[in-house]
This record gives sequence, C-alpha cells and structure tokens, in this order.
Amino acid sequence: MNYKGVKYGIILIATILLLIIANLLFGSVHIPASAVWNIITNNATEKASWSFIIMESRVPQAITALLCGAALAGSGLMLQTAFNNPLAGPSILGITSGANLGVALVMLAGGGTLAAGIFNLSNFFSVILGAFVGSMLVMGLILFFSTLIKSNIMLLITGIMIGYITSSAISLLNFFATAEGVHSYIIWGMGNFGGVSLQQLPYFTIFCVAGLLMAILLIKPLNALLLGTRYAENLGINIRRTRNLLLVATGLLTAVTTAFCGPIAFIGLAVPHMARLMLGTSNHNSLLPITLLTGGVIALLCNLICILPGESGIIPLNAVTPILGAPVIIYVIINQRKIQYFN
Amino acid sequence: MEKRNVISATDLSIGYHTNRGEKQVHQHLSFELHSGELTCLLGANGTGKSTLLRTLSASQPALSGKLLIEGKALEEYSERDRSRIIGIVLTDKTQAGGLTVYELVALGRQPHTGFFGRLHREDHRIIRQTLDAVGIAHKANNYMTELSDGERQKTMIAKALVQECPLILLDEPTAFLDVVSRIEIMSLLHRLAIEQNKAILLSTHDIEQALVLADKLWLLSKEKGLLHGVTEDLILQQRMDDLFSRKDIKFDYAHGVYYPEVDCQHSIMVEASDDVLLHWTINALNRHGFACLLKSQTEEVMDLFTSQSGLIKANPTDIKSPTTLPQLKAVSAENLILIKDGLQEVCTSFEELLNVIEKYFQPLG
Amino acid sequence: MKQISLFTYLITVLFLSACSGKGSTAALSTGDTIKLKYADNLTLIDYKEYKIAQLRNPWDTTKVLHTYILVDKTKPDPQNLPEGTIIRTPLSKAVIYSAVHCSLIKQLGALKGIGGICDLKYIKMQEIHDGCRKGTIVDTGDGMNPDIEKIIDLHPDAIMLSPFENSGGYGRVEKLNIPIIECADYMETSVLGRAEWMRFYGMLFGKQAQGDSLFANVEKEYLSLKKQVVNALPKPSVICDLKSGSAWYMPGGKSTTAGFYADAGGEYILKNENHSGSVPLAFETVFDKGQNADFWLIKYNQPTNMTYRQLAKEYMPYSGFRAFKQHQVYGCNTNTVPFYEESPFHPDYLLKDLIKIFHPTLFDGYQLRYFTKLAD
Repeated sequence: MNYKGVKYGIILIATILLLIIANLLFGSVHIPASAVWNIITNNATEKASWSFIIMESRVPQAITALLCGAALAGSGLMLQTAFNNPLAGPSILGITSGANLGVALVMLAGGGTLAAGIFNLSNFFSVILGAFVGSMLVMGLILFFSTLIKSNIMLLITGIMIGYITSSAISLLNFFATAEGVHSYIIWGMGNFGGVSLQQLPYFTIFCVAGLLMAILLIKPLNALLLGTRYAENLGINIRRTRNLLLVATGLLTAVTTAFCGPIAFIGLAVPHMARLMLGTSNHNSLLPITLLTGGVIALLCNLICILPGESGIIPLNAVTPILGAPVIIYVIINQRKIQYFN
Repeated sequence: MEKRNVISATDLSIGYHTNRGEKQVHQHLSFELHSGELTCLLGANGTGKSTLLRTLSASQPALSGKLLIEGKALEEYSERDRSRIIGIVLTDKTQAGGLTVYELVALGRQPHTGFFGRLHREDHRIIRQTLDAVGIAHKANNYMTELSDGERQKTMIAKALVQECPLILLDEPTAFLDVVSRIEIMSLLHRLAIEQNKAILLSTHDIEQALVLADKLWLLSKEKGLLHGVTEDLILQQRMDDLFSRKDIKFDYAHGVYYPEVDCQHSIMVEASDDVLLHWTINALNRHGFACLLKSQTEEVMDLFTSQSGLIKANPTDIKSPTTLPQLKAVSAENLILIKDGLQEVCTSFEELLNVIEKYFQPLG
Repeated sequence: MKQISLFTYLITVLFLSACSGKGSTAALSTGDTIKLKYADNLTLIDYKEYKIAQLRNPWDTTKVLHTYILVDKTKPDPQNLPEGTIIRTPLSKAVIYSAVHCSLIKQLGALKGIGGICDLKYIKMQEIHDGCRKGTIVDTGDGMNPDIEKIIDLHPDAIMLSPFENSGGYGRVEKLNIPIIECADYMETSVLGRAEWMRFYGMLFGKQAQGDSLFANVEKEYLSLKKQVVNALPKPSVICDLKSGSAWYMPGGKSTTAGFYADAGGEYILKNENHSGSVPLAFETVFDKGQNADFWLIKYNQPTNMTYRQLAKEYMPYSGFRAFKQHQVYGCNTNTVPFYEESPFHPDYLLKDLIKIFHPTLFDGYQLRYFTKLAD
C-alpha cells in the first residue's frame, strides 16, 4: 500500500472506532455514557435492562453493520472491476434478487408464511444455503451470458433483466402469501442491521470474513484485470479460475448479508466510488482495503442515522442508504471526464 | 550476444473453430523467429495477421502442426511460465486510466511476484531501468489518462519489457500514432531487440518504417502464405508485389513505397539534371495523367513505360513516334522547360508548370 | 319574443330539475336521532320513511365521510330524499370485503344477504366456504384488487369495505353505481364504540331489532365484566406483539387494544402514549419499558403453534423478558383461532379472556377462548 492508502486507512479505522462508540452510546433508550462504560468493562452495577440492551442489542448491531458494510462494498468493487463497469453492484446485476428469491423460497417451503426474520436454528443453514444458491444461480447466469455478450453495457442490461425476472417470481410468491407474510417481507426488504443476535454473530462473522479474505486474495488478479482479459492472461492470470473465485466471493458475501440483514441498497454501488475518489487510484492494493473500511464507516453511520427519532421510533435502513449513496453516484457521473479512472 | 531460435514453427496450421467446424486461415506455415532481431509482419487486412499473433501468444490454439517457443511446445507451458516467456502489446482499451505509469509498468512484474504481487527492491530496479530505457521515466508518476497516445504505447511496451520475456509480440503498436511517434517507437523496438537480445515481432501497416528498421520481414498473404527473410532480400527478390494481390497497386523498388496505378491520358518525354528532380517531376506528371518516357530510352521502340513501371491505359492512337512527343526538360526546380508542337514554355515553379499543362493539354474523351 | 320565452322556459326547467330528486338540501321533517352511546363517528337518524346514517371522517373529524339514505326496497322511493347514497334495504346480495363483517352478519341471522366475498383464504366460516363451493356466494378475489367482472355479474345491491386514510378511491368499483358502504367501524377509538356499529349493519340487512338487542347484550356483558376487575389489585403490566424487521410495532396508548387492556384491569406499558394506531419502536425501547412486564400477549399466523424455543430462535434477546423467563407468554394463532372475526363485535369474549389471563383467580373453570399459553 502506498502512503496515501496508509494515511486514509488510519483515518478510517479511527472513524470506525468512533462510530462504534457512538453506536453504543446512542440508541432509542437513553443510557448515560458512564453506564455504557461500566457495562462494557463488565462492572455489572447498572440497571439490568441497560446491560441487556447494550450487550444483546447494540453491540451485535454495530458489529453486524461494520461487517455488512465491508462485505457489500467489497462485492461492489470486485464486480465493478470484473465487469469493467462503474455501475455494477450486487443489486444491479440481480444477484441480490437471486438471494431474495432463495430466501423467499426456503421460507415458503419451510413454513407457509414469508415472515422473514424467523430463523430456526435447524433452518438457519438452509436459509443461508437458499440465499447462497439463489445468488449463485444468478451469478452463474450472468457469467454464462458474459461469454456470449462482449459488450459490457449489454451484459449489464441482461443482468437487470434477470433481476426483473427473479423479482417477478418474488411478486408471485408475495401475491399468494398471507397479509402478514407480505407485510413481513416488505419490512424485511427495508433492511435491518439488528437482525443478528449475539448468538448468531459468530456464524455471521465467519461467513463475512471468509468472503472478505477471498477478496483480499483476489487483489493481484483484479489489478491485472484492469488491463483487460487478454493482458491479464498474458500476465499469467487464469481467467476462468479468477472468475470462479470472484463468483464465489461475491455470491457468498451477498448471500450472507441478504440472508441476515435483508437487501441493502447502494452501499455496494457507491462506496467503491467514494474510495476511488478519496485515493485517486484504481490500484487494488490500496483500493480494496480502503473500500472495505469505507464500507464499514458508511454502514455504521447509516445505523446511527436510523435511530435519530429516538423514543418515538426508527427510520428503515433502506431509506437512509440512498441518501448517502446517490449523491456520490451523481457526482461521479457528472464529473466523468475529469475523473481519471474513467479514461 | 548469441542469436537463437525463440520461435520455431513447422507445418503450422492456424485458424479458428466455428459452429460449422474448423476454418483454416493458413496452413503448412514453417518459420523461425530469432532473438536480437526486429521482425515486422506485413499483410493486407484480413490476411490473418491477428490470427497468427494470437496463435503465437497462445490466445487461441493452433489447428495443427508444431510450435516451439524456446525449444518447448507452446501447449506444454504452464500459465505462469508462459507469462515469463511471452509479452504482448495490443491496441485494446483498458480501464487502467487511474493507474500511474509506474503502477501500470509494475503490473508487468506479476509473473515474478508472489501471492499479493508485492514488489521487492529488485523489481523496483527493473522497473526504473525499463522506464529509462523506454524513455518515459519523466512521466512515472503521471496517470495513464494524462499521457499522449505515443507515451501510452511506450508505457505498454515498458510493461511487456519488465516481464523479462525473451519474446515480445506487438499488434499494430504504431496505429493511431503520428509519424514522429511511429519512428520513435520503431527505433526503440529495434534498439531493445538488439540491446536486450529479445525476439520482437510486430504487425504493422506502416510499411515505410518497417522496411527501414526491420531486420526481418514476414509477408503474409492469402495466396502465397508466409514469406520470410531479411528485408533487403525480400525486396530485391521482387516479393513485395506479392504482398497485395491488387493489380493496380505497385511497389516502387527504388524508393520503397507502394503506389497506385497511373491512369494516363497523355505521354511526355522527360529529362532532368538529377535523380531527385527526375523522380518528383515524374511524380507530378503522373498525378496529372501523363505517362513519362525517359529520354535515354527513346531509342527503344514502343517500349512505353513510366519511371514507375506498370501497365498504362493509354490510347494506342496517342502513341506517336518519339520525336513528335511533347518534352519536358527539368534543369532545376525553378527552371522547367516544356516543349510542345515546336513551342517552348519556361516555368519557374511546378505550380506554374501544371497550370500551363492544364492549358495546353485537353483531357481525352 | 319567442326567444325570450324559450329562454325562460329552459331556465325554469333547469331550475326545477335541480330542485327535485337528490338536489334539495333541507330535510322536510325532523327525524328521531337514534342514541348511540359509544360510537363517535356514526350518527343514525330515523325519519319514518327512510333512515339516514351519517359517517364522520375519522381522519378529519370536521368532515363527513359518507351519508347513506336507507330506504325500504319493498316500498316505492319516498319523495324529496336528502343528499346521500341511497341503499335499498334489506340487502340481499351484498359483497362483503372483510371476514369481520361476515361473522357479524351470521350472528344477526342475515347470512342470506351475502352475495359475494373477498379474500376467501382469510375466512374461516364453513357456511361461506360451502356457499362458494355451491356457487351461492361469489368469490370476488383479492380485497385490494377485486375481480370487477364477477362483481358486475353479481349485480350486488351494496359493497361493504373498509375505508383507509388518503385512499384515493377504491378503483373501478366506484364506477359501477353500486352503493359502497365505507365501514369505518375499525377507526372507533373505544371498544364498545366499534361494536355499536352493529346496529347500523343490522339496519342494512333488515335486522335492526336483532342488531340492537345483540349490542345490548354485548354491552351488558362487557360492562359487567369490566366492573368485576375495576378495583382488582395488583394490576399486572402487559406488553404485546413481536419485532418485525427493525421495528417492534405496538398499539398506541389510545388504541382499542390499549382500551381492552385497561378494561381488563391490566397496566399496558404504553398506556400514556398518545397514538390510536400502531407505533414502531426499537427493541431497546420495548425492553427498557417492558423487561419486567408480567404478561406478554402475541398474535401470529402460522400452521403450528408458537413455542418458547421458536421465539428464542427467532430473536434470542426475547428470552431476556421476564414474561418469557417465567413462561407468562400467551399466544393466539390467528391461523386457527377466529380472533379477528369475532372480537370486533364481541368484545366481551376477548375481555373475558384478558381478565382470565390477568387475574387467574377469577372465572373458575373458564377456558380461554383465544389465547393459549405457549408450549416449550
């Protein structure tokens, strides 16, 4: 990593620590900072409900947000480089829809309702599996089409169409589901970092870290892919194997985040651009780590914004993420000519 | 430095697979490529230059035959080893605009680096050396988007060089470049081939520079397949005509350029005080539809030819006896004497001369 | 001259036609206002020849939601009816959107008046299912998007649906010239207020007397039950419902649910809250307020009954509630239990259940009608 990368890395890590502290201090219930400190350092002298809230609700939520943000941002970056398209992301290519469909089917087959958020531990892995298989299928379709379609724009449109098809299947499932099921599905669709309990957190962490490690291992091939497949091949990169790894990594990260937190918009699309604008480079040696860290920052920030109404309620996550993400995309599109990584 | 066979091909058949089976582009090709030489691949569009290059760079498989790189069959190389043997430079667009020159050239070290592509001191040394050799060190920290086309090509060449391959293949490296850049690149490649004992093969449409700087030529055509040899041998064996199968395009063996057939409406006898003046006088007259007869050859009977020999579409009735032909005496560039039907005109520039010609010579119907 | 007289003639005709029929604004005779003790948004006036039901807009109480003129269909239409939607009673072929009203209509003995229903999958009444199978009752599809052709084909004499705020219309059904009865009973803020609407519905089906007496019974039962616990101590604290996504929706302090809990002698944790609808709360807010609540009432809809294990797996922090630890969670599986169909117009049933839960020593031998204790 170069100097700029290290500098931003330190700033981002510091920001993450601050945001985690903020996420612990602030919530719908007012808990004084001293109490929070006591609870964290295990002096259990405070109100039992506060201890419960901090440890069982705020801590898992903060960690989930951090990992989710990094996972989605990493997926977005990998897809943007692999498809040579700045608008690529897990949701644009229909991969999130695939995961959604997988989750919807598992729940429908497993229960008769679509009340997402009800995990039986025995169904736990089948939900993950459903999300994973769903996103894999869509990814596989996209890759198949990528061998037929040379133009990246056409491929993107194909991905969007596939996304529509899976969405239509989900619509059908919704149509025949109960009112509660539909309501639950809609609520699930709004995204939620609080869906991972302390007990489920280790599993969530393992899957996310596995996917992120795979992304780190892909830094070298991703850099080579910046030159195009022919040059990359000439540099010794096995294109097929790289594509497969990319498929698995992105699919895994998308599946895990979607299964636990619902479909979260914009982080995968906008954060890589934020990182590129900050660093001013396309070099994945620094771009990937910074993207992951920035993803964590954005997610924690969104989580904080969601609890702003305080006692009277909460804002759904997917209402907040576009507010942060869309302006970045618009800025990038308008300044396309000036931004060097576009030329 | 010792020259060796970097590529050795025997009875090679290249082409590609379609739904309907194999499409052979060329068959029974046998050739060699030596280190320490710059070889240029010439041929018309569609003759299979790209196919040949892709086959040599292992982007597509040969249909049959033997192809050895450094003595080992190309198929037997692992990806990693192959990346250390063959370097390529293409005209592909990349999304590497956000990389600096240094970073992009550094990508060329990937075949030699470990899992994360970390660069060690030796790698940095090689990169810096190559940037100097190529002449782009002063732009090392600039982004690729900021470079001119010529500079970008040099960067891609530098990247291929740091791969430390004995063989470098370039697909039209001077396309879209101006003549200065073209000469620069070609000279650079020639120099590198010799200094670093590399085998460099490039395809190009810039015949002019190729003939000057290439040590070997590969002439590829549909009819004759691949002709190869030292540049001058091929030229003086009249092989250049075979390159393009067009009857109305000819090769000027004296000046090393291709030219179009002349559509002649009139004949004129020319003499000039030196060869340069003679060449350009005839050039101007040909362009205006005159078949030129050299004074020294008027004694030969009815052997009409222009200074650039070829068939001419002259009206037979227009062929008069030599003495009745109009004449042009080029004494100097400012002293051109036109004699027609006993009248004499002295012109002080070609512009004047051509205006006069227009007046006196009506185009035939 | 001719022009002037023609002109005058035209004006006169226009004036007269404007005056006749639904045009006139003032009622000619005064009517008896039927006294409604609890319902705020309903006004019933009996004019002997016709009755008026005026529904107040629950979202903007200065406005009228709808005015209905009920006329006897066996007699000719009276003259000079005031403005409003005319309904010819008793209804014999009504399309009922909601299972709640179907259940009431059965209680009133007016099942024959149902010609069509929506959302068959939510209706548990055997008679309705049989009717649909036999073809005597038409299944008009989804309440949000009903099959217009089937409705037209049926020629219903009224459509009973639930209005909602800013509805922007009910779609194509409005264009059919069939009276649409906006059943705003669910927007009443008091339990008995909602039930009292049955007197209006009774009128529609020619069962006014049954409606009145049924309500009188319900009222009597309800008030007597309420009296039994009005001074009972201690008052147990109550939380309800489940987290859905990031929000835990709980009924507000002024909702009917809150009213039930108060009438049953319980202390609802949101009782001082001001909303009459649901409020989305964060988990930690509910936990902070209700960690030590005595009872936890949940409603859910799934094929099997909920268990503590399932609750914990759904969201482990649920097990932090005292009600969970001491196994005082009561669930109602609306998949099998007719909770929604019965409770609006038989609030006394629900009240008895709640009282039995909150004060187990009362009503010896009474089996809970809607709620059951969660299994492990």
